[in-house]
Amino acid sequence: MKTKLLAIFSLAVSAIAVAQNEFPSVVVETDWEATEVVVPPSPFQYQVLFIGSEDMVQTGINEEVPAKQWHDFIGFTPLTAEDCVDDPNAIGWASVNHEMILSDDKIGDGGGMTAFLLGRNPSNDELYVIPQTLTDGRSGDFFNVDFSAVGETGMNCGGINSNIDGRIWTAEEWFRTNNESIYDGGNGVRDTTDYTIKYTQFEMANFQTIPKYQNFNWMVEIDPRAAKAVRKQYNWGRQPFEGGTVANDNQTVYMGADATPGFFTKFVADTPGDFTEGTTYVYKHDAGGDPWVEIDNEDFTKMLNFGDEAVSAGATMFNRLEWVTIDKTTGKIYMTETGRDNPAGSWEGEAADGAVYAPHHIQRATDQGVSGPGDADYWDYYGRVLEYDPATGEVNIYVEGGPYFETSPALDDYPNKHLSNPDGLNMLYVNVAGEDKRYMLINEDLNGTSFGRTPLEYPNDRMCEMYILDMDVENPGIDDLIRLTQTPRGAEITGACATTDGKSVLVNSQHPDTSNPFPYNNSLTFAITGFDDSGAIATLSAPEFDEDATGFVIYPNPTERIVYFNQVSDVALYNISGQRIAVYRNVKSIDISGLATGTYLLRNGEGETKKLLIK
Amino acid sequence: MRTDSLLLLFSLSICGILIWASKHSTPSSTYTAKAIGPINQKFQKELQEFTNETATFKEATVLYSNQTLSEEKLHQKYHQLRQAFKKIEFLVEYLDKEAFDKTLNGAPLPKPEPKVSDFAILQPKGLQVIDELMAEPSADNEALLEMASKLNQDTKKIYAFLKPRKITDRQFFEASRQAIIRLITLGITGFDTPGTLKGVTDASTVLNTQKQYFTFYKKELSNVARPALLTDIQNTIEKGLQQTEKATFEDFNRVTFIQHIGTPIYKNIREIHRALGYETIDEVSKYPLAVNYEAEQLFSKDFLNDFYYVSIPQGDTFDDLAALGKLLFYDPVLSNDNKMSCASCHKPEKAFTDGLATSLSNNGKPLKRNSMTLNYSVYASGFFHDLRAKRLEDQFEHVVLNPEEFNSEYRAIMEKLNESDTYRQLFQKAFPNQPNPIKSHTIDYALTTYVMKLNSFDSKIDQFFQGEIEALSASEERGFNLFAGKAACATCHFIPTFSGLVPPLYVDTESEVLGVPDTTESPAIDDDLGRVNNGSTREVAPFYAHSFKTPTLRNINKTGPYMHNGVFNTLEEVMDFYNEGGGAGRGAEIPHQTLAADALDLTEEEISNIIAFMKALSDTSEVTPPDSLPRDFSEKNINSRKLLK
Repeated sequence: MKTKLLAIFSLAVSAIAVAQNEFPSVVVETDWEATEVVVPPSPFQYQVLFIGSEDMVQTGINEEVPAKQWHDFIGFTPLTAEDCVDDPNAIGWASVNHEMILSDDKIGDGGGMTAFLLGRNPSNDELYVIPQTLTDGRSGDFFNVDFSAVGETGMNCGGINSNIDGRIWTAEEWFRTNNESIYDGGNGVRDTTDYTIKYTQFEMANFQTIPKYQNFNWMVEIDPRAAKAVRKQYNWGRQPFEGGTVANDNQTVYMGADATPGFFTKFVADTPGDFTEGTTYVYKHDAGGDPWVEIDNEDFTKMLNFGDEAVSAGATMFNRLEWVTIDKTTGKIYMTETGRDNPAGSWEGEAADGAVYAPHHIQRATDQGVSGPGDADYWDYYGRVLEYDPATGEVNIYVEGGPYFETSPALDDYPNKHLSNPDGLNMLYVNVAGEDKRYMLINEDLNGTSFGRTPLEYPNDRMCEMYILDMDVENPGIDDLIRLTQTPRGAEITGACATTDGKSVLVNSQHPDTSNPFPYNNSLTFAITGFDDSGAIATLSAPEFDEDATGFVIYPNPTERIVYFNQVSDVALYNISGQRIAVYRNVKSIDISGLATGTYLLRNGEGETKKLLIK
Repeated sequence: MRTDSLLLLFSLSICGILIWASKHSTPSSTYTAKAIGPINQKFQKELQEFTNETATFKEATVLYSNQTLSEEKLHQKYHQLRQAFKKIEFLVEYLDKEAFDKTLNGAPLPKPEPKVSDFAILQPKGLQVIDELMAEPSADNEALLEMASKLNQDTKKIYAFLKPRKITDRQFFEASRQAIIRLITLGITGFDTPGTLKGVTDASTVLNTQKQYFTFYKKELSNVARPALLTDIQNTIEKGLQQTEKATFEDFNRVTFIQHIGTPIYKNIREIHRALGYETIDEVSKYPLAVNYEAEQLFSKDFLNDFYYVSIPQGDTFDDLAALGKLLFYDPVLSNDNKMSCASCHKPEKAFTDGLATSLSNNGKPLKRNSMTLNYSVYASGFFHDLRAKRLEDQFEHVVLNPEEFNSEYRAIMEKLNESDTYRQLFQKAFPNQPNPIKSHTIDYALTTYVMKLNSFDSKIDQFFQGEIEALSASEERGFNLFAGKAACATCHFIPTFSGLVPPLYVDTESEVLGVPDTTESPAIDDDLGRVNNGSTREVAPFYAHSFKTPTLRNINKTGPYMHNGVFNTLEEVMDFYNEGGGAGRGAEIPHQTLAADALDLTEEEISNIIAFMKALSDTSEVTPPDSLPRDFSEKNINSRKLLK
């Protein structure tokens, strides 16, 4: 009888072996002779700090309303010795942009910003919001930045966060050409009467009366400590600004404009730290010698119509410049060029009027076999990160986006490795176990899903990711990007901004898919903490496998719960009762971050198995 | 005992051989020995062939414009192009939906360019535009040349990108099922071929393609002792080909085709997938898609996944939440003066509409628009006639804040509800982990959950396709065939929601410009601009002026008067309007009408058949209001509020 049972059992095993799928949906025995691999918990901590529509912002004394949504840029202003803050664990102020045009009696019409003070719990490194009472009497956790003195603001997207002293400027990307669009049927900026600029440091601008919409799209400095706007930089030109950075001299400011064409702009202050007086330039790569062409900022008309001036000056055209940052160690400037699928119609007119295409676009067009960047067939699906070297005056591609499977990444590394439409860009300086490290933080904001910008299992959703890149890597490419995190479904991940101590990165999840569970259906600011932990960043990237190793070798990576393999494999994951719960094909790693802790069985296509213990 | 031992020996040796075989076969030979190898090879080959065909067609348009090619020959080339396209369509659409829509086969309508900082319009291109031009190729030769050239360029890009990709079995099965959805909803209805109405001819290519692909699974299916699954699908396809090959677009019987061909194939693919044990989408992706892969067919109650459309998790407390939502729905406590409830304008016996041309305000004055049915309303990406709310949960706040409707705000509602022990307990039960569960979003969630329950999918049409009843009446059947054929209704009111929710993914809701008149007396349209004024800065496009959401036609018999302004009282009036080509067809000046202005030439009998079919879309289920409302508020006047039913 026993023999018969055994016979039937071995027939059953045969049936499994001939089944067409190497991963049966249920395995009979789960007591596999498998090596146990322990996946320890992530060394990173995640915390939600600030939720749109849920957290209340202080708009007046004893007056609070729910915060606006559409979080974008985050600035961090470190606490200094002069600041009087009672909490000894306070570290500095975070300022969060709201990229929208919305009427609000209390917050103010248009976009806006929210500022709050952060402290760090010394025992566990967690961040927390410190209640404050501001000089104007407002009291609470989150403060609406008051823009009423500068004529309000709109669509606050990127900005500038000075490396020197944490000064903050907010950018108003969404370029408007008439009052109707900012009024938006009464839902937007309701006061569209002409605006008269008064009492600013800019003599050329004072007492100029302009249509209301023209008072938008300037860089605006704010004071996060007082939650008040300081000034609009009428001397930097009116452009669809997205980002900028202050150089180490505290005199030079580099700025990018999110448009096609987008221009690269520079302002050099006469005196370090005083950005009200100085000279404004636009970049022209073929100017011969100095690539910076001055645009007279004493002429308010020229500042108002900066784009036209740039075209007349024959400036270099980019395809949506977004954030700009600086590696303060080398002084090199980095900026994201997000890309636009088929830019031809957007910049061929400007090209005819004298502006010039950036050399890398001409090269790309040649590579694609089309007549130039103004050709209707010229495409720019993925965008890239650019590098500007002040020493040579050249702008070059730093990391090209894509998947271009012929060159990068390898098909098997996709979609874990890819870079589509980079937008947010920042630097992280952190001391890890005595070593000073520099990392670039790159955020995606997908323009679309086609041509592999997003895995096909998400046909209508947009998965935007954040990558980090070790600045010590020479000639980096997509293969060197380390995937750090992904925001909830549909969201743009943006704002990534490191705290000055290098322990945390503050990140915004913007306009997520509204069908995510609360609070992930709202824009929110969260923190990832632990970058200073020894080995934490190293655990994000794929380990080096011993090439001589035979069989199925796996390496558990704690951070984002990524498990790496020594070879490209098809694998299936079973729970402890033998039910198949996931199958991954043609992969070198799997992301098991959604799984509960416990024991799992991992089997590859050759039938080799491992027991996975997720802690 | 002896036989047992022999059996054991035999089994062990088989086992050993198989294990030996599996160990020694290299991965690449396994790959080609299995179906998926040839599937990938076939796709690569046919994608290359389609790319070549686009070049051939491009040349043909040039020759035609030089008058060195006859119109007849041009049509032949176009036919070849379509055949090549229909072989690869399902996999390209599956693998890169956005590129497919933007360049190969999207609707022939302009769209705002998404995700750019300035506002730009993307002009349509691809085969549907070409199909409209091919209806009369001499009329706009320049456009035809341009579109044929673009198609060739774009196809080359798609080919370059898809060439290195390898599809898996799971992806193949999903794509094949999507092909069947597309065939039923967009192919045989004529959506795909707005100019030439080649939908039924195309269907033969689609069926043949599926037949060829599934043959590759012959060996695998016999290995698991299920060879009949292959013969079943092949026989069904053969029967289908007999129907598609001899029919014309006008006389094609869509009811029979869906019932006996489309539905069995759709089901059969799932059975093959299951028999072979390949993983399914839920083992690969954490995010549920709108179409539930496990559903048997398009008219199954679970064909669409309700939870895809909302942010409410599918948790243990869902029924508690729905019970709470039901109470709130009928409770006037939500309005400022405790007199108006959701049911004031959404009455259950009228499929949650109010029977008025336009609903009445809290002062009894007519509001701007007609009350929309709530049945099946969850299946949408936009709410209200102008699509201003992007999810069902966000819809309610527009009613709360509207001074002419609830004239209230969430804070006031939250304060009132917190006074009632009953409500506090019900909220606590539905949101057990929240210390103060009465919040703006929890109120929205409760109401949404109730509305999510209003989809019974048990109309006569559903029951027929589900196999619950034997037959439709002759007039209903003729009506369905006209609806999905000659009358072109199903090219906007898509099967099976009969709303503007676009297949095959069912994730986007369309709006249309019909030129609905202000009054029945004159063709002049009303001053309601619809979608262009919905507050979304991304939708301020001239072609969204007078554009309104395409609502579901389910329960249409109970939801009159019709259109956004309730201008038509009867379905006959509505049908006459469409039959004459909408506002533009009646002579009004409508620059961006999306409804073809040509007359449909429907006879009175045909119209009455379509109406008979539409009447068969009424649910048979009844929805009953609650018996009573909580009356444990501290304020007396709240406790004395009326339960409106």
